Amino acid sequence: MIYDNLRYLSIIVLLPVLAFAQTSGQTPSATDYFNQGVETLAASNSARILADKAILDANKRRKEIVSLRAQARKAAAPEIRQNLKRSADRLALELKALQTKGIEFRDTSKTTFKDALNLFEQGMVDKWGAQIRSRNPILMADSTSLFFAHNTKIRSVHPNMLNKMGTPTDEINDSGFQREMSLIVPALARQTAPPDLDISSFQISREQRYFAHIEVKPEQGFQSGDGDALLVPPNNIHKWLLLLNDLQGEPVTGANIEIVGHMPGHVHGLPTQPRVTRELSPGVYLVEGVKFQMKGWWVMQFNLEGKDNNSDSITFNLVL
Amino acid sequence: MRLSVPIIQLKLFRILTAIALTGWQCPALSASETDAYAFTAADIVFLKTFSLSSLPPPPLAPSNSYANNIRAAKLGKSLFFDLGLSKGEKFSCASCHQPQQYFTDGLARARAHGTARRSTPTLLGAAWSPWQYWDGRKDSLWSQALGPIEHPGEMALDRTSFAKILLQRYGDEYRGLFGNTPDLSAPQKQASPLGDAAAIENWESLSDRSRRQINRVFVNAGKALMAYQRQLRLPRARFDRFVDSLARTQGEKDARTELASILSQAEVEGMRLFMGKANCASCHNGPLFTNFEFHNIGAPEPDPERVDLGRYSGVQTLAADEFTCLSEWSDAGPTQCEEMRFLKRAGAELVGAFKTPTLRNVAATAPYMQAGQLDDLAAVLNHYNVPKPPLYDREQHPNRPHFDILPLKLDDTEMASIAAFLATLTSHYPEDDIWWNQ
Repeated sequence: MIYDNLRYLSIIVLLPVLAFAQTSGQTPSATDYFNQGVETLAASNSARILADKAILDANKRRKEIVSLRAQARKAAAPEIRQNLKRSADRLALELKALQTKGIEFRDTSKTTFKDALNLFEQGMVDKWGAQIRSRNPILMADSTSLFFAHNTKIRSVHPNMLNKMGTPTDEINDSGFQREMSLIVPALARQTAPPDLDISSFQISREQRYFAHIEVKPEQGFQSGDGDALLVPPNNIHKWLLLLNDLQGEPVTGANIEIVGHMPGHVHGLPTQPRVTRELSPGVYLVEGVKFQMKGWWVMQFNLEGKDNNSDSITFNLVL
Repeated sequence: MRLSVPIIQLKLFRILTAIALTGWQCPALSASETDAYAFTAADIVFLKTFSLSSLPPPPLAPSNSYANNIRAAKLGKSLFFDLGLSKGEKFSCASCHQPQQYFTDGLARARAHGTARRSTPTLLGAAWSPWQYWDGRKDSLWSQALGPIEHPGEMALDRTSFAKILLQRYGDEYRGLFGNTPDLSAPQKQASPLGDAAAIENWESLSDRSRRQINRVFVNAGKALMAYQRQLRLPRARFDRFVDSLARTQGEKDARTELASILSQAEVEGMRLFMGKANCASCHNGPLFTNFEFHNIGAPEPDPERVDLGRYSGVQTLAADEFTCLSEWSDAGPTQCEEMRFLKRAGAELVGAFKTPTLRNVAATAPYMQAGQLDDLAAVLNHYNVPKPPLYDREQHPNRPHFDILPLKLDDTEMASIAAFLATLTSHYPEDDIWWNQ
């Protein structure tokens, strides 16, 4: 069976990384990292396809099993009934194997995807050098005047939704929330992002054409956080840099870029309409008009149209 | 009612300590009384952000180089109270923005030469807002001040007549501030680009030079009016005295008597609800009790036949406005007008959204909402407690309006406490403040 052959996949997937480690006598170049990244990404994609296929096949088996068991129940002759049951049991074993494989492939795909992203990131850092100020995620400068957020989760309601809306204090549970305060302030409850959310400032595009990095553009008076990363000044319009290259590590020039952002839990967009105003140098885009008026989980999406007219998009999650 | 864990812990701790100290005698303190006034250091840090003592000076205003000019503010004050700068010499800015009523008029909808669609907002705190009007259709106070002058329902004076009258009455002051006064003898007729058909025709027949001269005087008047409004300060209210006292004493027990002499227990409980269960502080925050953002709270639609699209139409008007920060009449460089350059022009959440009003003096400035739909604070609190989602009319709304509030499940006592707290935000009328008194 095809899946048995592909049991080797996990080994294949690891190969590029291992090969890389072996050549570590000489320092790998940015190009090496990008090449390894592309290979690793291909392996991740293959594993994902296999995972999808295994899961689809498993579903198919499940339907067959249901059908066989139904037939067995209806069958008059005990012999036929036994045969049908045996077939169903055999298929059940296959189903289990397929499910296990599906999970394995999916995990492999996820791990190798992360590996690929790390390789691209390393390649980018090598390639762009000092133009990348920090590899850390974008965070917000602390400010006591801006720990507010309106926490409405349902924004667009029909009148019959009212009884399902809850109240502001539903947001607050007793587990450690603002324990140092006697005031209970729902507006202080930071909107919770999923714990495994990828908030890296390096991301690959949806169609896997581009790899990009964002950071806050330095201005006078801006605070730095860990790893020299500039912090987003709360409630102030500021600028970002978007560094864009393809998966071979070449800067992507002349791209048309549209920026959309929102807060997933608040169902509202950005307070301003940021725009790319200039390409400062090949692949370095100046993003102006960025503003965040509250802390919490924000999503910034860059919709790109390259010179080849292919459209793609890169999403960055921020937990400010 | 839901009690916070820290309160329970504090209370327990206090009772246990009392028990330990008094050797199992029944503690004589009334727990509920002391609780309301017990604030932690973190509470105090939080509450301080609401005190007028934390209010910085008005933000820089690069589009108006006269923004902090005292002589301009004095001229602006004269213009503000001058009935002569309106059609028929009947109305001034102060007709609707009455200092005695905290610069509002006490009416549901503003009334001058006509009746406006919306309610008169207060001017107190307006200098801190990036947007003016309920729908934010102006990006500065100077640009805003020019609106009512030409509005047919307000002062109803055409731009040309306004410039001429202003130079007649305030020629010396104008020259002293803005340099030479132009000769406006050539334009004979009532002329304005925003007036009726005749006024527009007259405006178009003027030379480019005349139009620019008139616009310059017009804009300078707006800048003086803005300089005036930037001088308006709020005297500290009881709430500010309470928080300042709390900050000074850091919540020491000895200070309880002082605190209790400033705010009653019901008022303090109202404050806790305001910040907490009722979630008012979510939008009404900072020393001016507003985030200056636009929200749809589903206030009853004043005229369902002609719905008010709020910020949605406000941004469209703003984008077409001739006196923005980006215009030639602004003193700012283009990079200093970032709110305008990056104005959010689209978004479903703009539909029917209005600017969060300040809650300073709210108890003294009924009625409420953008068109005075709600008569008193009880009605407002009832609306928040059991809100109705905004009206949605497919014919008129570009999308279903967003709805930015949740039901609060407050009982009558709680709502009464919040109303009591809101009254502590009323400043006394400053008899000796020259900017408040004509």
